[in-house]
Amino acid sequence: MSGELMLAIGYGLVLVIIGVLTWWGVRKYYDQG
Amino acid sequence: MNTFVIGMIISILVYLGVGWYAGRKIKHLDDYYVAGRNAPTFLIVGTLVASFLSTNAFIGEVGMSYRGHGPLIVIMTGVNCCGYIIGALFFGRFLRRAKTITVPEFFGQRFNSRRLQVLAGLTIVVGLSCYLLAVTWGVSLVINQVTGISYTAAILIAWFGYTAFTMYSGSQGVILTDTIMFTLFVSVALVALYFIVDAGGGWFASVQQLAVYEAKPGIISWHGVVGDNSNWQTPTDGLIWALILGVAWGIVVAVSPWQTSRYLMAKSEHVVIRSACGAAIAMFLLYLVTTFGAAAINLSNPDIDPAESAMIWAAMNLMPSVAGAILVSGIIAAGLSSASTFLSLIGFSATNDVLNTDHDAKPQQLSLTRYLMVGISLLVLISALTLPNNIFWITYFAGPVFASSWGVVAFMSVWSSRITEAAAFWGMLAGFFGNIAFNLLALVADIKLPVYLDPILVGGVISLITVLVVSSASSVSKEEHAYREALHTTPIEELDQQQFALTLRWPKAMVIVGFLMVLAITYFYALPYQEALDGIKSVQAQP
Repeated sequence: MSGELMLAIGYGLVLVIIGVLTWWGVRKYYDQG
Repeated sequence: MNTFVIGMIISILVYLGVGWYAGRKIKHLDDYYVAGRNAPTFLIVGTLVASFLSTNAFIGEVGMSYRGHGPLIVIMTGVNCCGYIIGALFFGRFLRRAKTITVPEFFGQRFNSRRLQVLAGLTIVVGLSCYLLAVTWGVSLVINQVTGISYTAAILIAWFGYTAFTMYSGSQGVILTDTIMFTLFVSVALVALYFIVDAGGGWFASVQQLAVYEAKPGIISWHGVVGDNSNWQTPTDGLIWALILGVAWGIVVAVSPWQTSRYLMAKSEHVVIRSACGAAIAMFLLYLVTTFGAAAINLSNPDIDPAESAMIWAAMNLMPSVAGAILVSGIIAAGLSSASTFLSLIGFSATNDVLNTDHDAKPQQLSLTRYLMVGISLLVLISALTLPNNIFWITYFAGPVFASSWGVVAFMSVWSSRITEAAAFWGMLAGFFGNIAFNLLALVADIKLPVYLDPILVGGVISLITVLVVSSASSVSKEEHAYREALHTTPIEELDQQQFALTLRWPKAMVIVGFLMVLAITYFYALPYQEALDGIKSVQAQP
């Protein structure tokens, strides 16, 4: 896999990972259901 | 009078007009300091991004990308944007919960400590005054280059603009103009990219030409230009630099006063979290546009000197004059919005934290804040007119100093039950001076520090060690313990299930945008890049 392809995947995946972290955080602290 | 001058005048007039409109609505101290604590998500996203970018993004980082280091800036952005989420989840929402009017006041209340509030306030007055100086120079340079008026006159125009605006309108005006400016420079950056790429022959042609660009080999490879003519000898050197600086600036994003103080204006904790998600998405997209656009300017002119004026050159030479004028106005807008945020924070902290005026004497406190803003702003003006211009170094020093001095104390103030008042005070002080000492060492002795000894990180480690050592030798008071306990009690109004469901949409949006980004960057960058390299190889392989 080329470095450029890894950059493309890595850059987008960082946003995915911090999105999942936020989703977890919001559910943990604010979910009353 | 050319289109650029007219555009600049209009943007400054709009800026002052919004300030006048916002200033008329100020009735209470809270309106002036924290915009009535009622700001919705869009305004907080706008002010977070606009305060962070300043002129550095469109001058310093554009220059770096034009020279061939854009990919490293993209990697750095990928890391430092995590600071938005970590900052909001682990510090920002607790800051909002504390309902103080400044961040130093939060530290003072958390540790029941007047001296800590004064210290944090002083770091703002000193650090942000330096940053304000750098931004003043940056905006003035743009005005000078575009209009041809003298540098001194340009400094006076920029200074008058942000001082009059901030003094009158306070936070109400700052978040409004920040959001207008954020919208302006995001849209105008997209328009600029279109014209720059069009001048290079279209999107795929530009990518393929840059992939095999001989004047700056590797300009859009994953590591950018490396080797003897670069700051980085190998791709690994560049990667390590980008990751470490990304972490350091991530801490700046998470705890610096010009970012976290925005959360004090948010309508609720949910707005804090949503706006952090929005800011992260906006920065992820915006930096792709500016770094690639700056690299592609090379296809039209590879000899712009200094490289920092590449975007201004593009505005004046590659774009229709009206679009170019809007781009220049956008760059000036980015600088002015940061300047007004910095000046407002300096004024608030000087009055509320350093002098600790009586909150009950509200009209007097408001007047004193305005007088102090003008006084400090005058000192910045005198410095801007008399000191030698060194935007890069001052920005490099003044921004990250907060990561070193505030980082450890901010997170531990929420999450550690062992950190004591003395540890917070000495930790903040040690981080501040540790950072300055390492910066001065590198500057005076002309030493190029290895990236892992970056002053931001060294200062942060010094602060952490100090906090741990002093905490072990002192004890937590009842008041500190009680305050921290209360901080971890979620207010009932934040447990509304409708708000909760709405907030969950934002991280979902991040996940979707993240996956779309993988597809888009692969299709529009990685694949055509590889195709161009394969084409060269097959030509070379022919006998």
